[in-house]
Amino acid sequence: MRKLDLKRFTTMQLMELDACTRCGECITWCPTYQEKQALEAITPLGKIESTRSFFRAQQLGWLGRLLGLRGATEERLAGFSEGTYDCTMCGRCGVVCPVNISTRDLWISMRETLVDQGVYPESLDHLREMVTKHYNLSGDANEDRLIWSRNLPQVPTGVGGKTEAQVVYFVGCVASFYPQSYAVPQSIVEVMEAAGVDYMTLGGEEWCCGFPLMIAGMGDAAEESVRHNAEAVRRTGAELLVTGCPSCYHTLKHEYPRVLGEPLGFEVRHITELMEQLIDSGKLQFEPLEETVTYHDPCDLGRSTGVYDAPRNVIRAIPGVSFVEMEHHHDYSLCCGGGGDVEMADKDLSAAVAKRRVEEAQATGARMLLSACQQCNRTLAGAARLEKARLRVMDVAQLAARQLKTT
Amino acid sequence: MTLERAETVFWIAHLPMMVLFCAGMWVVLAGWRRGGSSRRPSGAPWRRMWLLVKGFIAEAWFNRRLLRNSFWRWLTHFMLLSGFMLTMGLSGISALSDKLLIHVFHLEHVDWIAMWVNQDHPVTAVLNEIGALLMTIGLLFFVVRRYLFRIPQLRTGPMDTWMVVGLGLILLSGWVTELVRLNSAHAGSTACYAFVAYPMAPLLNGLQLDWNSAYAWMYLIHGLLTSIVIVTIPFSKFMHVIAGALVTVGRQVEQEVGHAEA
Repeated sequence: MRKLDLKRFTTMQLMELDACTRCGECITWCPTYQEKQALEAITPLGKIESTRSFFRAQQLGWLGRLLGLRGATEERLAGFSEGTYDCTMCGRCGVVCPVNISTRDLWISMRETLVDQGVYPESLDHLREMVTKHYNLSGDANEDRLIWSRNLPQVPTGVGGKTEAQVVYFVGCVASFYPQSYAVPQSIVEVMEAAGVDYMTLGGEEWCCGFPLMIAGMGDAAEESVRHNAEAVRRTGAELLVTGCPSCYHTLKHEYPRVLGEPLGFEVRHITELMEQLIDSGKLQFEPLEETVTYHDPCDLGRSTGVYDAPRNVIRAIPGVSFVEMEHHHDYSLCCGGGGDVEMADKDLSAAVAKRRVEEAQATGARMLLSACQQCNRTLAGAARLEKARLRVMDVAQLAARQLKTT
Repeated sequence: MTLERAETVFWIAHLPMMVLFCAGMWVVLAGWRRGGSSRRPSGAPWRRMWLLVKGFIAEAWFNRRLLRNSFWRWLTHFMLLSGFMLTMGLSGISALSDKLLIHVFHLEHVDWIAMWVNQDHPVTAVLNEIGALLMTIGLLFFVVRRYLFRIPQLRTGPMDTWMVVGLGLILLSGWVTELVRLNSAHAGSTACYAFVAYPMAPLLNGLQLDWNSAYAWMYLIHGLLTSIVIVTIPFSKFMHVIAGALVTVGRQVEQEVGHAEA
């Protein structure tokens, strides 16, 4: 029997294990369970039951065995690991939990415990190596972080040409290194240029924010990145950091102060929040567009950080656009399938979840599926292509840049 | 058997079981304390207290999240919890009045204190019946949903069954005990507002039973069943009543403080 470290869990989380009422509401809303119903260990309820049983069996010893509690044997940990790492960490279960269990944080603690035990998908070792040695997700040379800007008609000074500015644009790994996402940072830069924002990027000094490691249960390995990025931004004297990546946004805004043990010293906002402000102050104006569009709430922007209105307000600011909601939106939004490092653990599962979301978007009659996350866009665009859906997937920033009113 | 003997047997069995219950709770609490530190809500004490009270009422008792998802589940939960809180509250006030205010401070002449130890007082009788009735209906809803409709999302295991059986036995034996008591020499006739057991009791009057002895037996059975269920609380699904309330309120306070700080 393996000995698990309870310190990975807070007192509140250990209470949450006992607070679960086994009502199964989480099961109804779990996007990965809908696609993989044979795997009971994937259900939020199943994960909580297993963890409680492991801990209580460990605590009670022979008495626990007498009460029928199942300890953490290698075989059970392996099954538990499969279920835990097949979770997209979308946090939908937490929204519907009647006892308000903070499920996403609980799954991270479970993953940290599994990493301690060495029972996790091998692909995550590769991920850890990429982030800690190359400082990005893809393993490319980190000095090439601005590669996305090379085919811009004219590279603005803000992109790699400044050492000080009011705003730091934190590009994020997916937008920096995945060619299908290059259009997003290009659009964000175009929008900020049009609005006259004094911004700069960190170039090779931008390291992975650490989010992929944190949700993999390898948060300890992300500490160097956290300290480096915070220091790099502070050196610029910027008052504001903006990013187009909801995962970077959530991590910088909420996880960095926790890891650092002190306030950041600068504000963190998502690009849609900045765009909303620029629209309100009249610095951004758009050409009309006669199109029906729908919007997918990225989990890390919506459920995890509570930003629902800003992207919708940007979309609604474009004259002529007819905006429709999908069946599930805001708190109840479906996951795109691209979160929680699931793509690394189970590609098919990720694709199946994305397919369901694309079907929901198609049902609205919209011709354009917008999101505010490069990872969501990438996953949804892949599913739309596979489904041959007549649906254009793009980022809110891309649409905004495309409709910019030039005076 | 006489009621005095039944009471003696009950306390002889009940006290060791309460020691076991406390030991179980100590194990659970010790387990919780092994976790890392949680964030404590900041702010003035009165504000924290207000957030706790507000959180308990809105999130634990009236459970807004549950209402958003399913009305019938919400109703089941609301009836069970309200009934539980009402009956437990009455028991607590009764014990406090009896053991402290009357036995220690000799305040039996104060009507509004004496009423809490009188099971047949119009107010206490009707409140007790309302509490038990809410729990009974709530439990029936629970059984229908989990065992008859077999809603797919539910995973029914021994823990769920024990909760239904344990609670069901307490409620059933409670109603029977009350009906028997009302036909015995231990009943008064002042409970003018009671609307369940009091109108039903005369219907059983024709049965040829030694009601006093039957009441003593039922008192003992009901009391022991309750004690047995209490002993299992720390390691059964019943624990969610305590842990769930703490987590629901704690998380709500965390979120509210977080929003305020943001």
